[in-house]
Amino acid sequence: MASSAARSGRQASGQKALGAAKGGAARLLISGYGLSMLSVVVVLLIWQWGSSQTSGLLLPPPSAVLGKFLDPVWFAALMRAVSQSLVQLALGFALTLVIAVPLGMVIGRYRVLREMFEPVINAIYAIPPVAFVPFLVIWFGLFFEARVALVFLMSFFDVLVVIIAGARDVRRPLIDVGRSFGASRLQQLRLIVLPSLLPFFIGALRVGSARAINGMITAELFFAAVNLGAMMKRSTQQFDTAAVLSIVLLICLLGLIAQSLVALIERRLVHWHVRG
Amino acid sequence: MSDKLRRIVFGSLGFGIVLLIWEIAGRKLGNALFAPPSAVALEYVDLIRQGDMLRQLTGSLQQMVVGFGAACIIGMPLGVAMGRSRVADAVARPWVSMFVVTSTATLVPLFILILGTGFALRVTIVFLSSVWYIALTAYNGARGVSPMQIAVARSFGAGVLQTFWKVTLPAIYPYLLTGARIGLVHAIRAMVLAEMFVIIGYGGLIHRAGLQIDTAPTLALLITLMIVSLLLNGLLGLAGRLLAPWYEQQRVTT
Amino acid sequence: MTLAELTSRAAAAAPNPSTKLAIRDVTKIYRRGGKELTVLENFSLDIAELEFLVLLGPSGCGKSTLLRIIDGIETCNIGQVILDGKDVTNTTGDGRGMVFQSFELFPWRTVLANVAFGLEVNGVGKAERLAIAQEYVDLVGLSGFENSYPHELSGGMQQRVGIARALAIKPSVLLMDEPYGALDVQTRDLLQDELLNIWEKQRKTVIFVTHSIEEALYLADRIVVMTPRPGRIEQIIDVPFPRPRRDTLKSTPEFLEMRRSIWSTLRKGAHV
Repeated sequence: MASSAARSGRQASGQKALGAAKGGAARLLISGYGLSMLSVVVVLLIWQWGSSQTSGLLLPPPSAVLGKFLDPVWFAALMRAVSQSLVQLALGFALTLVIAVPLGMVIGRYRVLREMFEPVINAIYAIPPVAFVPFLVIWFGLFFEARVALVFLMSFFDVLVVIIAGARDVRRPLIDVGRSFGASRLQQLRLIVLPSLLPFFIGALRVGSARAINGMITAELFFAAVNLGAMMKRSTQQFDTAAVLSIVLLICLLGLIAQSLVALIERRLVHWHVRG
Repeated sequence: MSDKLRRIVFGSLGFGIVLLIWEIAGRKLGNALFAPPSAVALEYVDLIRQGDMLRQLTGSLQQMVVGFGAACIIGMPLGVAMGRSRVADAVARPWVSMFVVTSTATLVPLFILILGTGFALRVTIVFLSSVWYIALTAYNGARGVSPMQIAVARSFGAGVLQTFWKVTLPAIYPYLLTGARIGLVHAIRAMVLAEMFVIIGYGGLIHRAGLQIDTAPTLALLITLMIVSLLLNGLLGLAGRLLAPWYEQQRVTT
Repeated sequence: MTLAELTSRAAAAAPNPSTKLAIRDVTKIYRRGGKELTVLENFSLDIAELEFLVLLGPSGCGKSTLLRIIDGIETCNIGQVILDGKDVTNTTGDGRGMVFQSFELFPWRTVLANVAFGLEVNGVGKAERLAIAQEYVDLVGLSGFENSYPHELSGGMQQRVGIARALAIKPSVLLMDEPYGALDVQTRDLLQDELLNIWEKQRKTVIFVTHSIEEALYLADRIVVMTPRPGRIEQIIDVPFPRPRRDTLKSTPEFLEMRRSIWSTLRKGAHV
């Protein structure tokens, strides 16, 4: 029975491969970036057409958003703002990594610590970090320190949870190999635990950087409005939707760049890791 | 000591230690900076007696559930379609990956302009912040369905639709549940974010409490939020176990 | 028998100086959730220099646990493990090289770096350990795959790396824990022949754990047949077949007869 199932499985995948090969030029469109590009273009066209039918005030056409984004004066202002925003982003996220990674490793490696603190961490994780804003105002004021603190707070627990899971799941048999060859605790940490954790560290970077960017812009909107947050507030008050959308576009690009950077690090560092 | 007992004992010990540190720190710093648990507990009784907290909470949660429900209804089929069809994947992928990295906070001012500050705003923000995570988790599940299991169904003569309902969907099920739980975390975060921004509902309550000299009310509100979030998450887990008890032990990685 | 009595017995037993490895009154009890499970009780065995010894038994008979206790990665409650006259009970390293059942290669290390692992841990300099590792990569027939990663190799190739990794530290005794259990029959047969070849070239004391009677008969000088709960020696069999052995041995009447007789022994204690 099992072998007949395996055979029919092979047959099915063989047929699929054959069908894909027959596609020829159509295949390029379907299986590659072609269809994705088409999807983007079609939606933008519909949007452009749609906003030309209405006043355009509510939702400006994509051409207007792009025009605003590339307007030299506005673009320069955006770049100035984002370069200042990046400082608090880098500082807050660095703080998260420096604290959450070692802490997560210690908690994850020791069962007692895990059993003691995982429930507490899960409970605190359940509170939306933005709800801590009133506190951060009391402790750090309305400016730079508060923004760094919110970036930290919004990324800290997401990174911590991933690192704990990674440290917990280091394969016991691999540690046994180390012990079998007489590796000391320090050698086990350096040669087995740390490399095992690398894929999780990348995962933490992926989640954490997205959360940190989120924290960066949230902070600029919720504390004293500065940088991108200030530009956004001003544009909102002037009902300049194109300007607001151009800032959203910038944040989106920032997120995509961060994800690509993480993917780059992943390819460099963990090319041995087969995902899935 | 059995594993379950161990977890309960050490878990309580952990909470005890954190509460103790909080109490000591709170007394040192004073209510204006960081109210200790004892003060928060007193405040809590007060807040429940006033009734405002629970009333606002129910109202906010109702709107959150609408947005979150819509995110599940749209996100789950979207993710499954992306995972099972290359065309759907190629069409939806650029949008999903763009939206999932776009901070919810930037969308709030935009949608205030478009939708105003009422019901539609909150539902939309909650929807937009959770739907992508739900879709992506479903996508991972749908991608990972074992070709062997599908081959088994086919060899027994199951048609395409039958195979989908009887093999693919049950295999994806734990991912749908995990996606819903991840989505819920984001939905609650988005609810509070939007409400704190326009100062309305439960988030508005937190904002106003933050303006007081005493930090005890703010902390009490946060604790309620924590309890609600944990309860809803537990409820989703319970629903999942009732619907499909065979998946109880299965762990899903995303 | 009380724990104290067992302890005094263990201390009283003096190791025979002519043996390579002595296992003295080893007892292993697992405690889980208030329950006790005795895996090994009072287990004693002497292994001679350059002997190829196979521990044979059904799953759950404690043969792997015994091997892990000899290696030191598992501790025993009572008893001693004496290697080359030195008490190595409950310590690791020290002349023991282990080959694991599911290979357990480090996925982030290349073949060469995997083989060099034991040397690195023991403080051998980089140039020297890579040169030694290369020797053993060649020995197990993986020349050309030095820079491959484990996920790029077949199961059989991965286990060759596992064997090279254990051999590279020039262990005084080689421990093999069902090394071919995760492989298909053809690969298994090939690797058995390869192991015998390597063993002819570099004679070593080997303790090999398996549940395959055929594998045991083909490889061993001596087979220790174990029965479960608690694991103890049912029978010790001297395997008379001359070396070097060839695959054709497996179909000779003598081989088949011994195989049948061991099977009937194991069957008596089997619970299906």
